[in-house]
Amino acid sequence: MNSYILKIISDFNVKPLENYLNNFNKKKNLIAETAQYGNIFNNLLKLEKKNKYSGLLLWTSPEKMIAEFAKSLEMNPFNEKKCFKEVDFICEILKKLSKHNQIFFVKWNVEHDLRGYGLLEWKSNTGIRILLTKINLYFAEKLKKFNNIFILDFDKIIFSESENFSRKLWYVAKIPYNEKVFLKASNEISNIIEAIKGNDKKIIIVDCDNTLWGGLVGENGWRKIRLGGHDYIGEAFKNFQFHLKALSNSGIQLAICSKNEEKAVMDAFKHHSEMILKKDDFISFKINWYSKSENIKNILKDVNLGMSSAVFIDDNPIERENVKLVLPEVLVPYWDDDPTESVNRVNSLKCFNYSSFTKEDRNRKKMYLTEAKRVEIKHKSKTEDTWLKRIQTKVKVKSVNSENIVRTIQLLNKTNQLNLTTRRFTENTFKKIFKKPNNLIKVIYVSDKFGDLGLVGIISLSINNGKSIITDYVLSCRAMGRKIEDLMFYLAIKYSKNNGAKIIEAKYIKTKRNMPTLEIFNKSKLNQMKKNHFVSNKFSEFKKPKFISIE
Amino acid sequence: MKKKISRAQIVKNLFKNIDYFNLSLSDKKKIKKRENFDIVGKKSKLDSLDLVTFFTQLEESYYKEFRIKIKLLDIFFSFKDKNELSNLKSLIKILGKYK
Repeated sequence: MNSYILKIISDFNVKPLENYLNNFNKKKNLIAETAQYGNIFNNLLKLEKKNKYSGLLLWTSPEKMIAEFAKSLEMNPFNEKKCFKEVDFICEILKKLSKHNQIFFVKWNVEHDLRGYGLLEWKSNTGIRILLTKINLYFAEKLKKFNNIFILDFDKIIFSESENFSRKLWYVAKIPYNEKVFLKASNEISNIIEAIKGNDKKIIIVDCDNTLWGGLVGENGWRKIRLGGHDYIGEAFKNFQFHLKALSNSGIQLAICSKNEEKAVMDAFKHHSEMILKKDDFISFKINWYSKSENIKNILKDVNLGMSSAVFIDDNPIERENVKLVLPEVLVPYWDDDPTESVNRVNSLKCFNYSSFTKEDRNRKKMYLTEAKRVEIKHKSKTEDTWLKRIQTKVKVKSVNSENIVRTIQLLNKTNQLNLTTRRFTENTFKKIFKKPNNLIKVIYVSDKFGDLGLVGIISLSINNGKSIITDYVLSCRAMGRKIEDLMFYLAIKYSKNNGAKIIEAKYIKTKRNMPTLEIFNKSKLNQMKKNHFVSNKFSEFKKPKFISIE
Repeated sequence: MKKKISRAQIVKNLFKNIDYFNLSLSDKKKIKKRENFDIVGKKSKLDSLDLVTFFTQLEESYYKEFRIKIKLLDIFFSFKDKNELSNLKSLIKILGKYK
């Protein structure tokens, strides 16, 4: 696995951050390096050409970056427009740098105890805080179209405690914050990078009794559970549900795993007037008396997600320990019987990050729910062919364009299970690679009679001197198992042939999670010549799967 | 009346700080919780930035825990007194002087 090298550029001493990042991320192959602090612009100019770094983290002080803003700190008159002009200059540098590197820019802030103009701090053209807020907004607006530039908001870390500012450390070593800030920031940064690498969580599997509501619904019925009402415990459960619903709206899936009477749980969802979460908010229910680890396995199998995509929330420590033991890849956070802490606990899970947000993310829940209908029909169908015929799969093959580039890169960067080479791209490296005439990339949209799955597949080829190499073979887990895999081989052959290739090759690069890809290649018409190296020159053997129509 | 701080309390606070501080150190540099462990001087593996960070952290923690201001940085920056911080034993001795 390639290392992610992060260069930290700052106008203060960020050595403690580098130390924390390196100490805590050895297994994740994240390496942090700090540039000599100060000289920001010089440090940035050195990086304008192609460099070894995957990402650049800029943590700077506004007064050092924007001379006009520094005047405001001296309580001198300032010109807002001049500040924006300086921001324009910084944005231009960042845009150039983002061609080669992912950029993480820590939002500017002022010291926690800055008094400024007191009562007039939020008066436009006077206050320092209002000026900096405008600068931050202007900066964010300027860079909003750059998918490779991320603005990090560390205010919640920096301002969480007043003692986080250490004037003594500043005077002694030019370190403005105490170690707690750097420790938390390091945690935040490594989670963000993991999300960019596609290792964030995609599903929360929750228990019901004393987790989603108070009390035992099976024993006492839905009327007697504690949820909302004039009861602080009920309010806490209701607010927790509100937070889960918000996560669900943002593309994180929810599922139920509960040892309970199914009817009692369903009645609660259906009839309780204060229930925020409804049946349709969950993509899978396992309400029975089997072991929770078994049920979690089945939920993840139903929705085609890997173990490491899941978070399991349960108030019962025995159930949590069992799941931790049997399914070590599932994240099982500590959860106690105090529901007033539930929202804090879920907010403290730093595993739900968004490096991009697309139409597909917004519609994911709907897609999983229609998937459940497909699975239901599959179970009822006598043969796989009958099922495939009934669902009427349609495929559109398109080139990458301005409308689908974000989703294409997101799919390349987030797909783990069905990914031949697990190549990760920035928007610029992607454009650069696929600008070359011998590199071809096609994206695959799938729909069927139940609905639209969106852009779910990518096939890319590098064709030279009659030889075609499959460089990317990526399929979203939600489209697996319906012969799209075979269709992708058929398309790879078709485009190879059209471009004069006589032979096709693919080299499987093993990762921790892409074993399903190897299984698919082993079952394909490609021959394994050497270990993980697949070849074929018998193009006629690759047929378009029956029951899939290409539009 | 000022409450006397026992040696055990001083050591407990110091070791708690060491545990926290070690999180930021590489394995080679980690401070071992034994009294003859060298912290300042030729035998120490800690660089000056590590030391000023550690002493500042310790000063702040000491104040938070016992409401006593200690001045380890002054000793560290004084060429004459620097040896007083050479190992954990001497550091504990200095901390014991503050009441």
